[in-house]
Amino acid sequence: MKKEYDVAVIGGGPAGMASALAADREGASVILLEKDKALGGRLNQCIHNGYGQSIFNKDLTGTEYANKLIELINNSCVEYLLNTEVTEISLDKKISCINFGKRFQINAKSIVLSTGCREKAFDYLIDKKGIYTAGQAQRIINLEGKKIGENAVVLGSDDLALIVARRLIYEGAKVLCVVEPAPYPSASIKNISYCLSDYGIPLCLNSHIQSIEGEEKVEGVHIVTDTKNGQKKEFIPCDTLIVSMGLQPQYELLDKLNIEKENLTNTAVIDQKRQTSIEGFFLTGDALIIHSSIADITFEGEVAGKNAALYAKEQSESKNSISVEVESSDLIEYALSHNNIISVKVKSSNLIEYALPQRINTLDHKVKIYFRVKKTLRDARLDIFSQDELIYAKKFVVISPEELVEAEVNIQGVKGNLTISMEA
Amino acid sequence: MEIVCIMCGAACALEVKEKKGLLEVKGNICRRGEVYGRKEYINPQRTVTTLFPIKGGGFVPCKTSLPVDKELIFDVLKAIKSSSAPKPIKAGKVLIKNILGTNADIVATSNVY
Ligand SMILES: Cc1cc2nc3c(=O)[nH]c(=O)nc-3n(C[C@H](O)[C@H](O)[C@H](O)COP(=O)(O)OP(=O)(O)OC[C@H]3O[C@@H](n4cnc5c(N)ncnc54)[C@H](O)[C@@H]3O)c2cc1C
Repeated sequence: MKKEYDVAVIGGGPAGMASALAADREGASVILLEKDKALGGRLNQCIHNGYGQSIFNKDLTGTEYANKLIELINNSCVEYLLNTEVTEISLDKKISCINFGKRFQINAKSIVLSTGCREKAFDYLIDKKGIYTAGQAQRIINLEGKKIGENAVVLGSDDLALIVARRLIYEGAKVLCVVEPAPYPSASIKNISYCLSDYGIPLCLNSHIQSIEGEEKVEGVHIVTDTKNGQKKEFIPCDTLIVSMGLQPQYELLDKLNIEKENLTNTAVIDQKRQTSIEGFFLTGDALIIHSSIADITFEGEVAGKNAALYAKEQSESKNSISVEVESSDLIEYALSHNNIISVKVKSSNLIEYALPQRINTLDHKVKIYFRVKKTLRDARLDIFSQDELIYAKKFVVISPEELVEAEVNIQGVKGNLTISMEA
Repeated sequence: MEIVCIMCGAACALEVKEKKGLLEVKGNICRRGEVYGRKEYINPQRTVTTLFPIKGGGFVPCKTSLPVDKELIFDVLKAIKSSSAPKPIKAGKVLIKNILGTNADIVATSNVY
């Protein structure tokens, strides 16, 4: 192993592997650092299918998708280190690593962070036996091959929660209900159908868990449901509670360097190269935003990796960027400021969760802007203005919250701030 | 029969009925809903994924190489649970051929050395 590389990629999940491969294709020397004993990241515990259709043209399981990428890595010039956790990165791009108690440092010209996400913390009493987060349950069942209970209640209705619910059924457990505080489920319609309806698992909307019965072990949950005629209470005996409160980008290594963030969503600010506010530091995958499709992750990773390699080659590129700012609106808006960088922000909106990138370098011809909506919108219309001129418009029959929607905008000649507005 | 279409986020509520020997799909806003409604009514199928036991302990993730009839899911799971295969196993290895006469094989989806 060398000590100096053009590009260092931190985190060997699908985003990190895609980044490393793209940087390698640009001719950069690449080191990929992974703290686990294998590459693959979260995909290693995703034994279910539903991956790969748009990239490999086949319906693959998460594990198969990971293996395809690992094969590509093994056939490339990318070097990788396993069991190697990165503990710190410095502004001059020195990377502190630890491998089985051995500390060492690697220097790179540019850095891609692809450290994935973590499950949001929850306030339930975790010292009771029988309570698991959904990701933890998935890991125990699929990676350790252990069973975790007989009668389960699931709190939260995102894709992870539902995939775990079906997995419990396959292992012979009963899933008594899925409890969701919101008036609508957050998973894709496919998972609601294939993981819940197929097995007759009830979905209790507008509901929450008021309290958990049992001293040391979970013995049941008290569920409260808001209905038109007031609250309905129900006690469900169970020995297992699976909690899925959503996922959260994990990018502390960069956060410590004080990169610019959006306060509202706590996401990092990036440009179309996936470069953060500090030159030469790139962010991608679930560490940037939570993706629901592996195709998006792979694409994002490639963009970051390619640009990290280009940055390493000529360290002066980023002087030509523009910034887009979004003005307040109850939908979405973007704005553009001076020189070549326009900055993009999503204003407090009840329709749009966020949009990326928040900075655009207008020396590019076309830029893909991604956004996610907060709830399912029908007959929606997206307009993007540069100052008062409409530069992009698109109609959508439906947009649902689990999809990352893209708008490819021609920005050649655009001089002023971009404003994005959404109506439904 | 009521079926929710999964082809896109619109999640159309389909109603599939047999009328004089012909299938009628209502509630869809596009052609894909019609196709999905018919398929789900006549012969719903799913890909099954689970763990396959390894001789002497351990397991390897596996899947059906093709979707199998929905009503056979639990029989397929049972057949997998009562089988086993020796190490090493490479991804893509056929662990059970033509499971329960479905034409689908059980295939390893990861490597175990
Ligand atoms: C339950 C579930 C089901 C899903 N189902 C689908 C699906 O059916 N189809 C689909 O297309 N997508 C699906 N997705 C989405 C997709 O699996 C994930 O979005 C994707 O795996 C995230 O990739 P990543 O590389 O960003 O992060 P990860 O896969 O989490 O990888 C991050 C890696 O970084 C490493 N790391 C972290 N910190 C450090 C450090 N300090 N030093 C070194 N290494 C570090 C970790 O060990 C890990 O290997 C699903 C997601 C979930 C949660």
